[in-house]
Amino acid sequence: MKLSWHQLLGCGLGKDEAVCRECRSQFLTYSPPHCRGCGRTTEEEPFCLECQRWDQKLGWHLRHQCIFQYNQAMKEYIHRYKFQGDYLLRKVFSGIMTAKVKQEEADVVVPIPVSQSTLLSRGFNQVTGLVEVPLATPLAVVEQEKRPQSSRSREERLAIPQPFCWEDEHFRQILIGKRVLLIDDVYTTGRTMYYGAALLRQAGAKSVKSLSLAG
Amino acid sequence: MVLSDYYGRRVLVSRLLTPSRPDITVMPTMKVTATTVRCLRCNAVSSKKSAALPHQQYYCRHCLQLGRVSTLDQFYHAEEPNQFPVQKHPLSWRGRLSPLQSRVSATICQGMNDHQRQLLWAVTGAGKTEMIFSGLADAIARGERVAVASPRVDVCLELFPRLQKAFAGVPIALLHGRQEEKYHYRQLTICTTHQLLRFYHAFDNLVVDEVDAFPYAANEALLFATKQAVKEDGGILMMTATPGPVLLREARQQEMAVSYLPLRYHGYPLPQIDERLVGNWRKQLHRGRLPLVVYRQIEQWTTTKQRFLLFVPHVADLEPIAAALKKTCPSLKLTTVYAADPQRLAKVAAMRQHQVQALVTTTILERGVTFPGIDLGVLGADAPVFSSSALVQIAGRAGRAKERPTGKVCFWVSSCCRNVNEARRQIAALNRRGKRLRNELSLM
Repeated sequence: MKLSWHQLLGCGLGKDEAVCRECRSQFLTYSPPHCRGCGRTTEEEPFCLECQRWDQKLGWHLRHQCIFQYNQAMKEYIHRYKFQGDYLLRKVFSGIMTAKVKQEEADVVVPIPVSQSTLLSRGFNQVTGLVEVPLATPLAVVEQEKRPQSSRSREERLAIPQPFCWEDEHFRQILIGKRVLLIDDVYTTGRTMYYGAALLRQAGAKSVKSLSLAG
Repeated sequence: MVLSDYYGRRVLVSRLLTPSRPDITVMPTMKVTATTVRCLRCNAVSSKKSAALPHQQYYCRHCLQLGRVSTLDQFYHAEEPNQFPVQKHPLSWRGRLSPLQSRVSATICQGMNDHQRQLLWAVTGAGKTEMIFSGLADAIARGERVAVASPRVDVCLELFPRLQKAFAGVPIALLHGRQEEKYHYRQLTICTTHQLLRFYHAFDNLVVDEVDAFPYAANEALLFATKQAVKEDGGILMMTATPGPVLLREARQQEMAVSYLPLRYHGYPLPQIDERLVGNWRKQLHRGRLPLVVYRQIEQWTTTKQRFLLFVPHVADLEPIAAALKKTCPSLKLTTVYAADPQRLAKVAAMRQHQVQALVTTTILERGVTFPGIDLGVLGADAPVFSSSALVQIAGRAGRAKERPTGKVCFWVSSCCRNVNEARRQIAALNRRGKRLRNELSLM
């Protein structure tokens, strides 16, 4: 192995860094002005067209934050971490993800669940892996036709029925009057997030915010 | 999946399943010890901490690209039954070997018959592929399962049509990581050495082409892959023009039989390297210029319509050089290609079909590929990425065609370096031996 001066002088990888500066620089954040619904950059303040449509359809909208853009580098990361199942790669973003979750000061942090069959083959929930705070898991996935979200077109995604149910009925009581933070790995059309948030709102949560690594 | 998909392979399936047929055996995926886990596919050992999944499960990061091996899964394996239709004369190639080639070919054929461990050390352009045809043909006629593997996907892609032509009646499977096509059970397989990890005691004879190429050389996992892909009594033939120290030691200790051919098939010597000092070329490149010597040479190639390859040390050098050339030689049609280039295969194909006159590339095209009648330039040949064997291989791209058995090989360096000297020395030595051999032959 070759040692560079940077590493010898201790300015290579920091103690808490999992990737080098060059790789890190490929992950981009969204610059303001942010859409108040999905957190992505928008010219139509305060809501982008997509979020306006959601609001018309449901009468409410999410308050979502995307930490990074879902660009090529992020796609490759998600592919390797989630679909190839390289669990160690959670360390690349677990630091920033955990910090953001803590910043929100929610009473309950709820990850979007993965189906039982995915959990058995993948061996982990990719959302849970990204955060190092206590989580509540009131949601479960209704077992149905097994096809990954990422293989569907935009229209197909928007047309899927409610995929979530309660893991256990008593969770509903716990959520009453609580500030809930819903987290996921990638926000694309928002369909998944809206279904998750709808259930939490029905259960009587005081507020529902959401956060995703990319979007 | 059909049963034949499991013949001589290890296929990952969920641990919750049980085989539907008695001829499928179940094998474990990982060996878990107190502090480490060992992947039973690629043999890599990792610490438990880095290989951990939730709930005391483990996975292997080293061979992840082939599909994740984890303790959640198991392997299905069925013993190789050699279930092939009998082919008495599978070889449809009608070319003729030179007397020298025939001699080597016969030795190899015998070695493959005895399932030996062999090394074929022949200069670049000696016609290695043609020399293994008769060995392969005999193995196929005996009903053996055979594979030709190489560390380089470009080499596999070039081998596939050649072998298809030579063995017209034999269905061939081509396996590499960039491919979508489903696996099929075939008597003859061409694959990258990585893909060998999917096989287990499958082949009676395995040929590994360009053994000294990155990433195969000194890669424990790939050496392991070769060993476990052949049957316990299977034969291995390694081929290279530039054997590294490990292979040479094995050969000296007579752990493998060596066939040696220091002469090209057309009998002409290897083109010697023309080394020129160009000073700090990167500094000039920053200003969008190339050294004058380089520029003059390329201008000459452009006016004479001579096709050429220009090798550079790093991917980052490709664009500035292409830009500088576009400015100075606007009539020159060229393109750049590197390992992770999404259009890599298409660009190499364009060069083959004479759609471009030149390729600017990194070391990926150093070996196994033939563009007849090509000239060569290496800018920054003194960079550490060019090992002496890589430089010999690069120089060996030139003068391979019978119609143009010579060629120009220009190495442009900032300073004299050991690797270039070593490469020049090797070529001179090979040419001396080749000359001696030629003289012996003419006396006979």
